[in-house]
Amino acid sequence: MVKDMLDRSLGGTIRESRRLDGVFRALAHPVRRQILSRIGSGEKTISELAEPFNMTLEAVSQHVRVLERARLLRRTRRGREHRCRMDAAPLRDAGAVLVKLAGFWEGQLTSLDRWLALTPEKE
Amino acid sequence: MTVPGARSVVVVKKALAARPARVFAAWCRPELMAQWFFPAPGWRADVTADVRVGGRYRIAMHDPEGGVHVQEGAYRVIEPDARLVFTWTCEELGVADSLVTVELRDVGAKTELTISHELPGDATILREHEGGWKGCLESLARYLET
Repeated sequence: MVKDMLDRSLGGTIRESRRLDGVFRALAHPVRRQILSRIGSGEKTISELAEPFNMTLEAVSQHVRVLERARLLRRTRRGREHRCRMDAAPLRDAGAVLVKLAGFWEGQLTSLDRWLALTPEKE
Repeated sequence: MTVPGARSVVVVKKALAARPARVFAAWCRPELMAQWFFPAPGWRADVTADVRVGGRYRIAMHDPEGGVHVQEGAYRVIEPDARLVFTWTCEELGVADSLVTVELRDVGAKTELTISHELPGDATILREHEGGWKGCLESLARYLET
């Protein structure tokens, strides 16, 4: 269990850490979160995505590029039309890290508790 | 625009049978940290810690099979017997420069300890998610109390 918690397969590289930072950063903007939740229910073109926003197509495209770099969004081209769909895998990775962190700290505090009980108080 | 409210994404609490001064010492004195800062019996830890604001720490946890698990960072806030804030990087878990706050509250002869671990970026977004990706993110807003 402890080994699971510190599962090496999840991380181990700086690249991995940057990728996770990229996911959190991509999610840190309200427009990008709305874009994601809209493509979560089905594929959309850039102009469809732009509809609810008072923004230029170019501004929306920039947000789409940030999501694309974080691998949260995949784009396919059909002629001049760009269709966007969501890729949820990086979100699951981000969630797994938080669950691991919670397990990690719970383990440390249990260890601290044990140590306090076994170590006589000096002062 | 940022999301208002608390930014902590992982919160763990525990009641400890010792006064805050003793618990604080356990977190701040490297020779004491080395005795408990690992997840289970059978492990051990090598700790170096320059416990002052801006000072760095490094904890190498050794598992019973010989694996080494490193975390490191720098101290941001040190309030004796009350609060400790430090940055936390663990390449193994893919987390860099996250922020950990340890708070101690005196409850009788005991200490209520709260760890809040905040990840890079504004992770509170994970609470106001909606639509098709909701299921994927439920664990992210998890609030744990023990």
